[in-house]
Amino acid sequence: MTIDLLKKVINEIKESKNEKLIVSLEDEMTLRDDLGLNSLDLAELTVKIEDETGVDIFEDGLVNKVVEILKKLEIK
Amino acid sequence: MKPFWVETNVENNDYQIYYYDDLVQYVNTQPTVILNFKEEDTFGFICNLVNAAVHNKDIVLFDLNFKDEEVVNLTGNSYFIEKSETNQFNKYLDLDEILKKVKESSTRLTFFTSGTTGIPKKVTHSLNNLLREVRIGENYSEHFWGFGYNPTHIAGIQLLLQGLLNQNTMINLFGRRRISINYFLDVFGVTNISATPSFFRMLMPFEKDYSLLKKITLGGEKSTPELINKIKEYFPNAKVNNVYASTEFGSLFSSCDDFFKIRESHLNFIKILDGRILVHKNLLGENIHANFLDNEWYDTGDMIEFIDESHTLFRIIGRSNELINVGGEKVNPSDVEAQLLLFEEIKECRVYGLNNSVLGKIVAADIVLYDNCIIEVVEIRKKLQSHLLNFKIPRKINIVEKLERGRTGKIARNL
Repeated sequence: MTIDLLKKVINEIKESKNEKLIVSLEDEMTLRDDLGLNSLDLAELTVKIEDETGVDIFEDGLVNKVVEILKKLEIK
Repeated sequence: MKPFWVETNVENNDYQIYYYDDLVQYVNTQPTVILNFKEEDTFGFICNLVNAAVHNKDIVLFDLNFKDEEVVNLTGNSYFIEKSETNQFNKYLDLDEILKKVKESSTRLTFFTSGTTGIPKKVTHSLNNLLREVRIGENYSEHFWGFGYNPTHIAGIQLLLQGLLNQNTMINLFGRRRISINYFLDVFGVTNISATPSFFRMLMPFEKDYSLLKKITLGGEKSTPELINKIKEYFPNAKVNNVYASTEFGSLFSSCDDFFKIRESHLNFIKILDGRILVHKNLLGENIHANFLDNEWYDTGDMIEFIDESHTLFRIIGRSNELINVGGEKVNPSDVEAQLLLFEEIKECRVYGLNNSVLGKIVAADIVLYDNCIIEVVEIRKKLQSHLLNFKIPRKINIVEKLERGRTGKIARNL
């Protein structure tokens, strides 16, 4: 999964909550603080990413940053 | 010659009428009762059932769709047809005599519940027990029933007894196509329909003139105020009755709205504990394997909320074992389904829990849209924000062609 696709998935979540969309996604951004995702959003994020890639990114525990998600997807 | 049962074709509008004379002839000439009938022939099933009652034979009612392997799983035996010879009466019984024998019968019927786990369980009821809810009399003599239940399940048998003992005519609408149901309602001037809420949802959008219908009885599933109002709107001359029943205990109470009241005669046999309905074992069928509170009370798992201060009127709000635990917050799928069904575009839906590594479960929904309707999932999510708490909003919504149904025609919740 590319960073652009990840941004698209995150923005789908944002849009359904009537929240402002993310303009650019950086590796070091944190999911909760920088991107404003709560636990329900993270739960949804894992479902969406798993649908696209077959990988459950939170299977081994929660991750905090964008770069950690991308690393998990590269390894698997 | 009064018509008894109209058997309808699943694929088209063909039908065959069977008369009460056909039933009488069967009972007087059939030397055997099949104790475990499992064939496609619904009229044959009904005749066999009546014959069993007349001869006081106990029978097992298998769903017509049970595969032989399922029968092995359920009973531990291979399926084979078991018959019992009957002693013939020394005179020809007329219809009144046959119906009298049915009313006095000691026959016990064994059903299989659909359950909410999807695994059928055996429950046995005496025919006598099932007759307690049947109303017989002049007021019931001219009813023409649209039969909306699986005839091998308890709701179907209750309806059959009601129709039979009043010598009514019944037409098989269970599992029939929408276009056929509308056709048959017209052609036959059906006056009463007894069916599940799902039956009516499948019939929607209501397009025909249903002004001939005088009574609608809903049962077998929780209905919603929205559905009841829709039915009242399109069936303007029909009294709408909502029945609370289960295979374990038959019918318990009924109401003409979304809320119920416990009858005087049942006050000692029904109680509410922690918001759930408990039923005394005296009202239950046999073979119920469950944990009985104090060895006496069966926990139905059905949750209620009182709507009046004196706690006599209540609404059934869902089942405790269907609650979805989203990170510790419990979600009743019925609440979410009710909100989804408020969308004009959504015909049916199923809300369920999906395993999730962050919260344990999240809420998901499969929805079926009306023909020619379009709505984006994101739009559904946005609108639900104003009606549901965050954790109740389905995080995965799938638009599907149709929903899985269980044997009763109910939407299967646990798959």
